[in-house]
Amino acid sequence: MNYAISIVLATAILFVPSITAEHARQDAWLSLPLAGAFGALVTYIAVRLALRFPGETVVQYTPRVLGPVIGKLVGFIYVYYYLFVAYFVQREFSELMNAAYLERTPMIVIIIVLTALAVYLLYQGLEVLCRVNTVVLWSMIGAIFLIVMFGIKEVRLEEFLPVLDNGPGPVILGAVAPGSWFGETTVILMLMPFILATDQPRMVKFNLLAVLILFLVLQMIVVAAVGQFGAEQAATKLFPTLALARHVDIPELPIFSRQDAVFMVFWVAGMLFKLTTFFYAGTLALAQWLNLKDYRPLILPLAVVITALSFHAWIDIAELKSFSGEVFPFAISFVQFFLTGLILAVAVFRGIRPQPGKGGGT
Amino acid sequence: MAGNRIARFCLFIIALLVIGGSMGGCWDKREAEDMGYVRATALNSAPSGKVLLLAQVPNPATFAGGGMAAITPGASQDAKAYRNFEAEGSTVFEAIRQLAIQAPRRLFWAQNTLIIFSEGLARQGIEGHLDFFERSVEIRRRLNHVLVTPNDPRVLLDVPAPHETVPGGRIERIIMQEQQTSRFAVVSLSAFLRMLATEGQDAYCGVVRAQKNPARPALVQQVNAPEPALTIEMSGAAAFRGTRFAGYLTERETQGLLWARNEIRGGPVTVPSPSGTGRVTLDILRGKGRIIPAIQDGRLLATVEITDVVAELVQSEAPLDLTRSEVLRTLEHALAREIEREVIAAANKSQALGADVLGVGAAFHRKLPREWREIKENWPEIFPTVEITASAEATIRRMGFTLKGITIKD
Repeated sequence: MNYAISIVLATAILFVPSITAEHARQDAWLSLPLAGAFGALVTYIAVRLALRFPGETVVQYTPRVLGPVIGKLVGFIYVYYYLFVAYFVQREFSELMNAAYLERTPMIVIIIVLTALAVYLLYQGLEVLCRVNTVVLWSMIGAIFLIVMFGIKEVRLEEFLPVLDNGPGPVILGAVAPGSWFGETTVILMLMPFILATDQPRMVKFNLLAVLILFLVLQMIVVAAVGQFGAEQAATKLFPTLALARHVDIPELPIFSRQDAVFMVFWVAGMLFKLTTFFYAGTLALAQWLNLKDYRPLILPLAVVITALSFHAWIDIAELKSFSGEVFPFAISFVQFFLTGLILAVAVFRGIRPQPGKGGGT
Repeated sequence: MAGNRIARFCLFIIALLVIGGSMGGCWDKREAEDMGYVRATALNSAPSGKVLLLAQVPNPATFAGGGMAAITPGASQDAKAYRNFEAEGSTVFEAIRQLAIQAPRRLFWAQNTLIIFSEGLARQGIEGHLDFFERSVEIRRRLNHVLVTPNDPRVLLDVPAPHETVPGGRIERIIMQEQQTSRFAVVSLSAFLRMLATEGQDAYCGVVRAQKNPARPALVQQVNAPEPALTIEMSGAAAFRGTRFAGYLTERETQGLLWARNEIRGGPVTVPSPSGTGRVTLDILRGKGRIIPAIQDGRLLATVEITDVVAELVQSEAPLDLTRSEVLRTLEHALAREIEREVIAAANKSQALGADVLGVGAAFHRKLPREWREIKENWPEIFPTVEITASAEATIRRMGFTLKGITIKD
């Protein structure tokens, strides 16, 4: 469960609050429940599908479900989807570090450092990743919680009025981005075989709980950002959560001011985990797609490929930001919601079951 | 095994190369002692449309143990606790970089707390200059106060004082005392930008002045440390129409403005004593303000409602018998009327200036969004015609350590 939260949270808190505020303005807080409901639906579909084939990953069973040719094709879309999210994470991370802290450091250096860490983690394996993540995730949520609480006095409730000034349309638009981010929990399609067979039945509950926690954290940030900055200001900020962290000011306790670097420590770790997870899922998916026995030989070449992609896919941060508002949500929702739903529907319709001997966890 | 050892050796060589090679290329290395921490930034207009930027940088050496010069016997003068650097530039950033030709350290803006605009520059409009501060990575938007000064920033930021020697730090300390009076506005950069962005809300900010020091005697007797000729004072508010300075609000008007903006956290209010002679001063402890808009027969009405005011009686010139509750009720009534007059004074001034600093338009937008859509285009013309009224309610909860005041034998 921890894992599902952190893989979404790290990038979601970067751009999503301002993307939502850009569309929904003062009604951004209404967008998130919608997004949460959509995210819960996507998660439910994904977990159901994963549980139908508990010993296999999505790349392994799609050819059987959809037929060898289409199945392989769809499998490759999943491979690409995981790597796509991975290099999107790389770019987001380096853009923020470049903009806020390391102005003169070439972006490629920042990407390489993060990727090298991710590669190291991949060689260590999934278990190490999950254990460290437990520590980092809760520290991050704690840090966000403190940031919001420190600023709670500054939240002006009148910033949320008038409600539904421009009708429900903008609220729905504002829900698209966070909704698709919540759906990133579909990474479970690659991870299910590694979850203990005894824990697998509880995954539906765990993942839905993860979406709920994500929703609460994101809602907290959106309310704090709109309440403190006003809807217009919240919408124009590139990094609203960082702005919130920098906004902390308790005149009586000046020690808490200018502590955004502490928050960044957890955020950087969160980004690392997110990158590693999707990179892992992508590498494993490609290895299985190519019917390789081991995914490790693919780690370094793929690291180079996604680094190059992250560098060339977007021109600058303005493009990255509009991309994450206008293209990214639809692109990943296509895989998370449409494809995953399709596979599940076909599997149920054709009554396809796991191959004997492959059931259960490992 | 041999292969393993060769691999290890290769790894070691690679590590050496990477670590050694990266030594020379640390792009964003900054040492704390190489930085000049800017405390206050002031902008003034320069001829030919340029901007004059003044940055105040404290000298950390003078803070440690009061400064060496001060302890050394016979030292004639303390080291100056700060330096003011000034440069001219076509834009704010040009001017900031221009400062580097005189500043010995890399000027760093993350600790800056004051952004002071001269009145002249503010009259021309500050939109272009504000952009730099909003965009800046170093500037902390919440920790910076926006101020307007009628003085030349060179004078203002060089007013000497024996304590709180750095003028920027002194201004900041005065700002922290705002709750004692509520007679000047305190507006962070973040709040200022928010007001600029909000529909039906004009921005305002605090005002800082260098005044003639009233405590300085006509005949200066002290040779070493006379009272300085000037003193820094925060007083009133500056109202903006859009990003252009529109005019000043007096202290009383500012108090009314803060009531309407729900920003009152303290401050004294004096009313005539119910006993008929003398005055009574009440200290505000808390209170809430909000603007309630209404449209009646096509007329726009706005009521500033001040509720939950809790005050403490701190001084009564004539003896009052507070054991009788009607005396307190009379006082509460007088306090409420005085608060209403303050609010009306603020409303009248803002309507006269055509600057909706109270946020009357914003209140219409929030409560009557449909009607607002029709009036918002012409809001600057409509705003002065809105009928603004005030209604206040107050309670006096405390009266210090005495009930009747000093008793004097008959």
